[in-house]
Amino acid sequence: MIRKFIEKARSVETVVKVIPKLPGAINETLHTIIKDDKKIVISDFKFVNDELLREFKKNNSNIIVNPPDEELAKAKYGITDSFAGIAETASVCLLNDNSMTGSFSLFTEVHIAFLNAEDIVPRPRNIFLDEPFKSITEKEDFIIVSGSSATADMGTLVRGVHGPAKLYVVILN
Amino acid sequence: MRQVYSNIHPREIADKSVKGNLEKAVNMALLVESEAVSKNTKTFNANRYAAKNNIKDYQQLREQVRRLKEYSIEEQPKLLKELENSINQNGGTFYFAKTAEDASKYITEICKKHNAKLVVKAKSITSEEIKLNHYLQEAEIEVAETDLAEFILQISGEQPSHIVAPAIHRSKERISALFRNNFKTNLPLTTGEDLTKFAKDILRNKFLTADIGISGANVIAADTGTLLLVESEGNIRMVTQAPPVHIVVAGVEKVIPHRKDLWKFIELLAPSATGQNLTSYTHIIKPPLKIHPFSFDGRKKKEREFYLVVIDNGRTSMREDSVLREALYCIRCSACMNVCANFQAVGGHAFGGETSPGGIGGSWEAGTGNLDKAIFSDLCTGCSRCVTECPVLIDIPWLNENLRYRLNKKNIPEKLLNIIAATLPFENDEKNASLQKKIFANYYFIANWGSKFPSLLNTISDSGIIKNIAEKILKIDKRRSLPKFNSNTLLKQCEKHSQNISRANVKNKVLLFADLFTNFSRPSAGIATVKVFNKLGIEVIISNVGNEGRDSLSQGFLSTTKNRALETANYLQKYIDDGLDVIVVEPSILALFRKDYKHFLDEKLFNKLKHNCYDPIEYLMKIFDKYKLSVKDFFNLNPGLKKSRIFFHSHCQQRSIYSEKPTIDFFKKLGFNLTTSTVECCGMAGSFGYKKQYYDLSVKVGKELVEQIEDAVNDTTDFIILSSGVSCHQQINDLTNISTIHPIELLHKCLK
Repeated sequence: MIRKFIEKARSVETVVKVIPKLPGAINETLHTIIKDDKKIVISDFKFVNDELLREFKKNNSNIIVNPPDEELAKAKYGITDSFAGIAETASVCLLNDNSMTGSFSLFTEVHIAFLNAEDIVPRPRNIFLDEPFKSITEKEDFIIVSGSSATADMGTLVRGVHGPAKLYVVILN
Repeated sequence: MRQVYSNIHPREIADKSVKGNLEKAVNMALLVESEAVSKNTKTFNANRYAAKNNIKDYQQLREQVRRLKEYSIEEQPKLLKELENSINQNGGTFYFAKTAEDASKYITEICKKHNAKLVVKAKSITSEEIKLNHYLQEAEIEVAETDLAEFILQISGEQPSHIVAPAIHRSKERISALFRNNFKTNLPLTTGEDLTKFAKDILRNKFLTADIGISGANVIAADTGTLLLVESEGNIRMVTQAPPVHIVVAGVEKVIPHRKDLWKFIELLAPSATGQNLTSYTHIIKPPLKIHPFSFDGRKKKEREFYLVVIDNGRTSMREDSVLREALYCIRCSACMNVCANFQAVGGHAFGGETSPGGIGGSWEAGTGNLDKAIFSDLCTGCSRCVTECPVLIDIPWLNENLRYRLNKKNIPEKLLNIIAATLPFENDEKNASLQKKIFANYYFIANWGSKFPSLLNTISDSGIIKNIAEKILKIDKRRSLPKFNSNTLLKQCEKHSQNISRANVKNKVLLFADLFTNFSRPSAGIATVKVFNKLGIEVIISNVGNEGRDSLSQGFLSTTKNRALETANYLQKYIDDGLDVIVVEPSILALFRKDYKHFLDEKLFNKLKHNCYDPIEYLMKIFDKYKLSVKDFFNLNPGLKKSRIFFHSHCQQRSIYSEKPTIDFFKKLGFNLTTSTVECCGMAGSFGYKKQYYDLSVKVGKELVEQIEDAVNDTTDFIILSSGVSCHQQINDLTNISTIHPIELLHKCLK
């Protein structure tokens, strides 16, 4: 399933990183993605253990905690979790609730989504039909993100319109 | 003249009920918009074919969605009540608008109530239909279109030319010129990236300061009040999240019973539309959203509010109309537009009305506006490529043939000229049709008379004077060569020669249906069929030629077509009941029997024809498989043929009934190296390419086929062009002077 996810992600220019569920590995991976000192916002994790981000968060002054709305629109990096991944479409599924997952993955230039490897399903139908995802999708507001924000309206395919220009999916295996 | 057409603004000619607008729009689009439309629709088209092939249960999926849509439209009144309850329970406000004006006024009132100064809008064809922007602007409320295509159109003042990509008619260069002129900027704006950044910087500020967001909805689930919204740019995410108030405007046909079924649309929509697996963002939301309201730009926080405005505006009448009801099943994916050769050439400013473009657009313009606005549906040639591509199996040509029938009834005929037409057969409800349509609806009678006096008529039809008269009176373009009449019809040739049936192998008997086109225009293909079949030991009975009704159907003469269908089917039924299979050489006639007759015959009789009529090579393939024969025992490639380059252009309707594949496979079995065309249609489409008003469009479409032929034959003189349809033969011959042959004629040449 992970292999399928990676293969499909390539066609929509989503970068996939498969790493172990270890704070050190996560810290290292995030530092390979975030190389400048621009602002970072991190949503409340509900599906991925946020303790895993402790090394990254430690002494990182670029992270804005509980950002006011004005700051939100200025952050470059939005880090979120996801409740499911879809292999066939290289998608991550995000809650659109007060965890701010929906907003941090929209207003920023780079979206980094964490996904548990065991939460990857084959096709979109599986998040509607299979537990434990069904319990979420039958009542919560959510977004299936299948690539960065893109348009072909200006004569060529351009990534980075009203949402992030770049999508990273970090699969915790 | 070119200058006149290229200066026409699309909005001026959007309403096709105004006389002359359709013709002007076709000419304008060919000159100004064709290149961009062609490039973009063909990209979508190729991507869709690839995406479909990757979905292993695509057929099942489309049937599921079709059934779901049928059920939803049937149960609409009940679903709307359920939806209203759900929205109220969620804390939103539900409003049912009977008319477009009602909807726009209600939305404007909501905006006024919230003291809105700025509204950000996501793409919504329904909001175009109700002319919402006009009402909001009258109330001095600024409207910012945030989908980049709609942003372009808001500046240019044009109507959408495509339902998924509304500015598909504008090239990068034309967008750049528009922005530079409108915004008086010296920025270079030469790349897609430049243009996108320029627009998004303007729009980001609008999102953060807007009072209200307005969007459409792809699907609405009644049980929970859930919306499905799909997009790629992120503007719908902004419109639904950034402002505190969200208004959704959607047609009643978008409502389905259950949220749990949304995945079916999710899996079907994007592959059918742009050929993506999924678009970047798929929202499943039950507004008002639970995210806290934002206070960007120092604004005071307001509680989130949600309004759902569902619109009737003629849809209830469409639901009660057995033909237009089909259009309500449309999921607005645009596959029918991207696959249509005429749409690829001109786009929705010509092949479209004020709001709705493409083959399906005529039914929407008629259903939500009035019938006269649907006159652009005349650009549907009935080639039926959209029938196989529509994910919800709508027979779009049938809708357009019905619109044509209704428009014919309303037409005011040319009185004097119709005296000529009075000699032709038509039913009373078709008497108002134009002379041109009456003539083309009765091609059988013209061909029949032509075959009686061929030398005289062929000489006359070549004369410039006659061509001028035909152009003036019948609007047959004088640049077109008229079909040559032949006294030596298939029937006559078969009467003269007895069949030499091989004793060996297959002992079988079939009926060769002497269709109108093969009998009068291409008897050589019929004779080749007889000879090849005889060689296999198959006796061929030739039918009497009749009028099957393809000509009348194409002009919207439905009553006449019904009579012709019944007569032909009853005749064929006798042979089928005697155990004979029916061979039909001309693909458009075979498609009539297998597909179109379902609208005219009872199910039992239709199924009899559908399952017992065959293309000649399709039948050969079946016989070779059944009797386990080897092609090498019957056919031989002589050294000359082995070296020839062979190009095969399959008739559009042949592809739509899936009968072209056996031809390709059979020639491969024989060892031919066959190149096949990839165009959707040759552009001739029976009478379409003869009509003066569409000649240039027909040639534009045909030129792509010509380019493919030229590429395939390269500069060699040793080539053979195969075309299965008479119309395609005529188009290729007119544009290249090359004579094509039917594939069965090449097989005849290869007989041992």
